[in-house]
Amino acid sequence: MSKSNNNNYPANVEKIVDDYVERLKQNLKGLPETDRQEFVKEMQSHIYESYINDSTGDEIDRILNVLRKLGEPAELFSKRMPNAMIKMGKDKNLPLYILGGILVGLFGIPLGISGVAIIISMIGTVFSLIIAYFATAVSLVVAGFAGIVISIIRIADPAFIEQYMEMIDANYVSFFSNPTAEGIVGLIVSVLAAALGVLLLFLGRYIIRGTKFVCNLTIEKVKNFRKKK
Amino acid sequence: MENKIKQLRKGILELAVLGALEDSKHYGYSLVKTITRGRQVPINEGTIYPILSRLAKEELVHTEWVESNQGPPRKYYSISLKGKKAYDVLSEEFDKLIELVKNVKFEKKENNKNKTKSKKTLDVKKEKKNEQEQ
Repeated sequence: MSKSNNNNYPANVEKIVDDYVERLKQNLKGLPETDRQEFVKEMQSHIYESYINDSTGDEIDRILNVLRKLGEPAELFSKRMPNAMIKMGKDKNLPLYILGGILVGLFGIPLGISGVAIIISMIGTVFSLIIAYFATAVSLVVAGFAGIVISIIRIADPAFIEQYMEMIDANYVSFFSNPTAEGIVGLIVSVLAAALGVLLLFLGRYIIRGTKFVCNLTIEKVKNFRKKK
Repeated sequence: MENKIKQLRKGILELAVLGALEDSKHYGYSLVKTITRGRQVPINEGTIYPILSRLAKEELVHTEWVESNQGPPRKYYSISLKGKKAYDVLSEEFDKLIELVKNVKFEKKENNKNKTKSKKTLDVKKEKKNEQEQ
């Protein structure tokens, strides 16, 4: 498909029009192919009709005046986008497009598919951070309690642990001269770790609550947005 | 505020588009010219296209591509039967609403006039009093 067929623009004007149409096409990525072509064709028609009816100054002034009156491609596009994207998502049953449409609608930015991908990966990152947080908390609790048990055994029966330590490392030499001191230090460290784990879990409630709140807020916004349509 | 103006324009523009199409069929550019009639309107001409595509989706207008003698083909829009009915209902509603707004504005003006009038009469009375006292 030639970019601007049978228009007979002067070369420099054609260049400006092609640039505008190219930007328009960039912004229309994500629309179904037929819709996109039709919209571009309609805009080309508008530009042509407007150009031949314009009478301001030389040809460059004219074409710039025409495009200024028409509006920026991004502006033109974002007005159409949310509706079209949501419709497309419905048709193809692609939640990704619905999400994209919502985001575009909420922020008024023509994000396009790559923008949607970025948002999805951001959401993924947030969720994996939350999971990592809880994994850390749980392992701290588990390690803490295990440490408490081992330390108590160390105090009660020093020889019992010693034989296992030798199994792991034959040259094992305790940092502490006194097994009881080692046990007590181990106990304190373990209790601290367990307490930290419990504290993290406790604080985790707020994270869960915050996440829930953000999710609910998003869902509500989505509902309102679709009601408006 | 910007948003409110946009909302107001959107609804009224839709009605204007339907009204213009009721008289004759148009392509996008001719529709813009018909509606603005050469007046400077602080809106992008591009705003007409989302409205047209919505009207087409709602089957209030028909669309048709027609080859042009010069330049690229034009996409013509013509009003459908459903569109005509919608226009009648909407324009009647519009007139009622305009009447409402006008009445409110008129009353405000009258009130302001009365206020200034009563003020003037008071001033005159005061002046007379002063004269008498002197």
